[in-house]
Amino acid sequence: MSTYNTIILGSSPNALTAACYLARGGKKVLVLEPSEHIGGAVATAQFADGFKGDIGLMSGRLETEIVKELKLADHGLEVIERKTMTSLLPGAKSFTLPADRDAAEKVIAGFSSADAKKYKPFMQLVDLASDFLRSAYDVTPPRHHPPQKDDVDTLSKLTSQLKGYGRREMTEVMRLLVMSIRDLMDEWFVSPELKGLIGSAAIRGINQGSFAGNTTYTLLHHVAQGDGFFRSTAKGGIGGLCQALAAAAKASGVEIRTKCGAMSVNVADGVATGVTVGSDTIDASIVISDYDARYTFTHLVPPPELEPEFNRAVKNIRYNGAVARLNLALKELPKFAGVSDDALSGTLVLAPSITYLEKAYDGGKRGDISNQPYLEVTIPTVGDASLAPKGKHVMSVWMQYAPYHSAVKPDHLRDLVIQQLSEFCPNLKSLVEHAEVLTPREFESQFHLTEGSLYGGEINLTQAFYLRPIPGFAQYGTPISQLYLCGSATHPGGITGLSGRNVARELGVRDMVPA
Amino acid sequence: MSKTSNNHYDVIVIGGGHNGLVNAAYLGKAGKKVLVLEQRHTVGGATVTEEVYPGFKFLIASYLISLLRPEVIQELELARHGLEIMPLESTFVPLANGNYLADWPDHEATRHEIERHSKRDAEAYDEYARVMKRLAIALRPLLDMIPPDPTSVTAKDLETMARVRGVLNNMTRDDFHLLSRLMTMSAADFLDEWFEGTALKGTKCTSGIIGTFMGPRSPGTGYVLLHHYIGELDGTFRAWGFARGGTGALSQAIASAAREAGVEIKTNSPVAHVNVKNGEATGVTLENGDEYTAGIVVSNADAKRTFLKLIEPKHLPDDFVSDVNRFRIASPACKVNLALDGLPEFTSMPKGKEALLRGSIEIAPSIDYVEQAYDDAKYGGWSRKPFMDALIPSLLDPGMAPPGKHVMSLFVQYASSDLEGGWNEEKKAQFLDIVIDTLAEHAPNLKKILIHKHIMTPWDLERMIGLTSGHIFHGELALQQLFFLRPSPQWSNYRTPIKNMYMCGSSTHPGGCITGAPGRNAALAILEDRP
Ligand SMILES: Cc1cc2nc3c(=O)[nH]c(=O)nc-3n(C[C@H](O)[C@H](O)[C@H](O)COP(=O)(O)OP(=O)(O)OC[C@H]3O[C@@H](n4cnc5c(N)ncnc54)[C@H](O)[C@@H]3O)c2cc1C
Repeated sequence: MSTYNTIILGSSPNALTAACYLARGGKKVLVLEPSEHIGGAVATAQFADGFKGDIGLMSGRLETEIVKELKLADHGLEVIERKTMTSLLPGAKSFTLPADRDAAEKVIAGFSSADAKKYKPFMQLVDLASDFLRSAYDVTPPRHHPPQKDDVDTLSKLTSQLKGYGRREMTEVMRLLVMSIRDLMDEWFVSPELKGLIGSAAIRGINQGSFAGNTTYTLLHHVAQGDGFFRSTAKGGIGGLCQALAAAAKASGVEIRTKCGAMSVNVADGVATGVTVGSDTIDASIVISDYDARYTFTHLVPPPELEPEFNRAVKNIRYNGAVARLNLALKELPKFAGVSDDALSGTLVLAPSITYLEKAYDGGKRGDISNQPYLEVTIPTVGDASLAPKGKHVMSVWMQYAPYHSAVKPDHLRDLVIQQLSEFCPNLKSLVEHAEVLTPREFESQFHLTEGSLYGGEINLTQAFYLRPIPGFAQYGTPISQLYLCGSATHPGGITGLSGRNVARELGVRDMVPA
Repeated sequence: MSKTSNNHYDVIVIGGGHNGLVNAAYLGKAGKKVLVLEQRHTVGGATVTEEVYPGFKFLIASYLISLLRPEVIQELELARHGLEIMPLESTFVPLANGNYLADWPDHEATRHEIERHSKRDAEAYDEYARVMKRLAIALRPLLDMIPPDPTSVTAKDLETMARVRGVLNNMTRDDFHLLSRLMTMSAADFLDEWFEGTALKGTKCTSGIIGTFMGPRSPGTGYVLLHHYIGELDGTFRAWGFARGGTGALSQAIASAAREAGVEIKTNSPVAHVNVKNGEATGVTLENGDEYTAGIVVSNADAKRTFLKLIEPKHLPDDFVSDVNRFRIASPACKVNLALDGLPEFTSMPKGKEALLRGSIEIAPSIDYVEQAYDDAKYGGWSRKPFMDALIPSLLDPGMAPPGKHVMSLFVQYASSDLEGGWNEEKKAQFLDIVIDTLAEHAPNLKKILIHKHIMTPWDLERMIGLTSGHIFHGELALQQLFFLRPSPQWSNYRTPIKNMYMCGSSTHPGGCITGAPGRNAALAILEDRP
């Protein structure tokens, strides 16, 4: 049996990215995935005869530099862009916003000339703010307080980027980070439908309403990750990201085992020495957990190894899974009243106003399900016929709020969503051959995502930067020596691969592009 | 009236709110010839006591003092000018099930009381108080700072930025992390980390929502919670004090200090507009047409009122006007005062503990209750069961009511300043009834002893005191409106785009509450420019 330098538990895009870079840095890496699909919940799997659907996230983009550095195109990555966002409005109305900003401005002018004028300047401000985040996401957060040498370098680079924006822009960007999306939308726009559509990205994936403070940070986070408004997936579904990364990893000598069985980290005297998987013990000098902090420190590592103070911090992490996912197997391509066939390759959003989003949250807040939920709908088969039998289609739905702490009944959820969409697509019910419903509870039980959080911990300002995943442990290390975290739970959160690359840097990999 | 030298001053302060008065007093003491122009019949603004019904003195706006800067008290010698603050000694939270929660100055007694609800909370309570105190003390130096402009490279701004960094760097790493979290999280989440008792969390969360149009579960309320702790002088207990004669007595004391420093104060003098020539403020014109000239004009009114009503937009840069327009000022707070023919009897008040009536009485039995109160109001409505912070001033100062009678002051949330269909007399009466009904559920004899009832809705606070949207802090204490962003990014140092024109009210750093800090800091900024 060969020995490994590094063992990674879990196989999300961040885990595989870390594996690739570490292998390039000369490490012998083993990736262990207990489920049958590489990627865990970031996977596309058959849910009905011949129909494949994304399990967790239904869009996502790998960091462009990582795609280049790891030559993922050569390993089969084919990005499919969703170039439009269609807002579904009451009365079976809708409008479709194209990614092209000039074209979008024209569409908006159709209902509000004031908003049309402001659209481009708004998007430019969002560009500045999200570029700034992107820079902050590319580095390990400052370690010391007060900041010391490395930290000061990191911070002064970020500060000069901000200053470079100009005086007014600099403070505008700083404001944005802490604003509620309601406030931001009110500052810029007047039409409820545009506010709702743009604002919805601010509450995507979190258990907060659109009136809540700091929600703009969540929007900027998604935009910084290339997953804000006009999103993308891969050929073969979101799992295509992991497939390409896995191929690149294997080509660099990484070994990947799926269906590996139950795993735990072996710790001796506060030092991780390897893992136990099934009945095997495998030694390694470094162990990296791709799982969220709570799962890692309650299931993978024996709690007695940890200080009470640390356990408390782990307990205080907010997960609050609030997203339910549906995959519908459809007999044929559905028609949405007033929505062009072209727009069906984009994202359809049911978020007609900021108030609608807050009301959707009101139910969720008290542990019920929203009766008027916020929905995002894609029909991935429009751009990728390989996901369904010939002529048939898959419809993917993202539904909020279906909080973890509520008694969500999958059948009720399915009926609710279908009924909600039937206003726009009256024969939807008759097209459904099969429905898969995944609630936060399923995400937790099947994929070990604590409270069903698809991001390994809520994406909010209190859990960002030097506070993610746990204040004092934002540099990917843990209280257990030689044990690291690399997943979406860590800075910056999300599936871009950035945390995987940051971990590799922390572990000494310097050359991101091999000679 | 013609322009005579009698009408010329070094400084004109528009508005005699407590900050305007503090500002005037400092400038007067520095030798300036200062005129304060107050629109109402009395000074004080939101810090007033008014005899609305003969013999009954009402606190129609603010009611307690806690954040008043000690420098202001000392430097203006407010005690000598008649200020007497009596500490509030207890909090009483009646609960629906006939139970209650209370705290007293006696530490052991409070501990036992909390233990009665949760043993774990009793243990966490002291540590919580210590941590909040530590954070508050760490932040306190920021209150007295003229905020720096982080985009500026002037020596002055760089030096202040370094001082800000110094304040943060002086904290331990753990405290810095905790502060970062508290500033960005919700009061509810923060309290959930500390406590399990429903009632304890209910009463504690209210510090996070006072004057704030957010529910305790909204991120941002953590900061407001901390804001209200900055004044808690003695750590464990909420060190809020009652001024003999009500908060108006504080304004009178400051006014007296100002007059002693040579400041002239004219009431019943509403300013119609600021006169601006070539980008410079030259004086003001009153609504009656009177004109006064001055080398410096300071506005104590809120930013919206100052820059959207008193100054023509043509004198201001577009960016600045849009900053003022976007400044969030929607308000959820009302003030109710009751004249009573006796004392309310709370069914849940234990026999022998009637002294609890002398403290705060809080209708905030749980976070869910307060959050529901917010939800009811957030789309332009009002709470069906409001949160209230009540006080019986006549028990602390018998002079507040005729012998044998009492006054009760109730701070109430939430009722939207943007009420659907707008406010009118009928809606005022309806909401006032809701407040009284809610209180009567806890004190059933209330309606029997009720002589007069009086409500100040956001509509009234705007009409009578000039608070835009009735906002008690001259604008939301939301993170995007704090420190160097208050009220506008490049204009947080009390100066304005108009030369010789300054701001000194609660729309500026460090925001609302009876602090005197904006007034004092603005005076320091003015004296920097015009020693
Ligand atoms: C209901 C309520 C309860 C509160 N409770 C408390 C509390 O218990 N404790 C606490 O610390 N804080 C409390 N506050 C907040 C606190 O009272 C205020 O933040 C503070 O008093 C504001 O002081 P200021 O001097 O900045 O402004 P203001 O008090 O608003 O003063 C502005 C002054 O300008 C005058 N003015 C406006 N326009 C003109 C014009 N055109 N011409 C001439 N004069 C003009 C106004 O009449 C007013 O006197 C409360 C506020 C309210 C409304």
